[in-house]
Amino acid sequence: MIRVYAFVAELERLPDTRGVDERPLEEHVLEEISAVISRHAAPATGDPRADAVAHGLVVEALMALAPAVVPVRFGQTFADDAALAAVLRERLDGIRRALQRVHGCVEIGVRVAGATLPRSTIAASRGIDYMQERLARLAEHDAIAHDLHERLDELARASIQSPRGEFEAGYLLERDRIDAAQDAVRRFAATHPALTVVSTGPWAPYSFGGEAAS
Amino acid sequence: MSILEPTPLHEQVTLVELVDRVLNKGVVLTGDIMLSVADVDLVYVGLRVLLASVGTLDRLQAEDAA
Repeated sequence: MIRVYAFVAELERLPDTRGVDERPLEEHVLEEISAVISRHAAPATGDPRADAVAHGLVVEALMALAPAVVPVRFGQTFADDAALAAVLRERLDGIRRALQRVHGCVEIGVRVAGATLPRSTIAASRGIDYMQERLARLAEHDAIAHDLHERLDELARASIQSPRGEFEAGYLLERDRIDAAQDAVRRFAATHPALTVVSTGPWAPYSFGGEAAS
Repeated sequence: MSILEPTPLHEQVTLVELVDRVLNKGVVLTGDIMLSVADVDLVYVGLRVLLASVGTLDRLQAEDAA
């Protein structure tokens, strides 16, 4: 069984990190597209959470060794080289475009808790007054988070917002813009003490490889 | 104000966020994903709880400093 961690361009060398189940990593090249993989005798039987962390640590380690990394979602396994090659051949163009898009970039995640209300609160509404108050607050919080989003979007090569209730967004940033983006988040948090603002990363650009899947 | 700083709680957020990313994001090559949707939801719930805790922790620290 083969696990795939990420596609990479210009990989300097494989990281010292081991893969899931402590398996060694390999660079698997198909028509100039490099995938980082590990080979397994049998499907994993350990804690899937630990395996997911191991997968994520491999991807993050690759970020230090390649200018372009397109992370593959955890849990993608293939029976053998032929099965992997068959799927990759259909997606080579998409993967190539994704690698170009993220070249030189990292992803920063931003979450603003309290910026919108949980859907369950709205579903439990009693009466029109209650509803109107909720909607007004929702609009106000949305506008506040939108302000932060606009500032970060200006700095980013691309951005994506989660359709989930609370404000959650990812920004694809060239590496030399990380500080400016984190400063913008810090200033926003200082201006809005009532909100919980969490910025995470820099991460591998998990949210920006989408085209490779289509 | 609450910004990610290197404390154990923030490290927990980072770890849960890492798991959230590898389960929910990243390129899908085949429809064959091993983890169930329920597992993914659990991670997301965990992240919400941790975010709330970070907010509380930062408020307490601010009050201590005042």
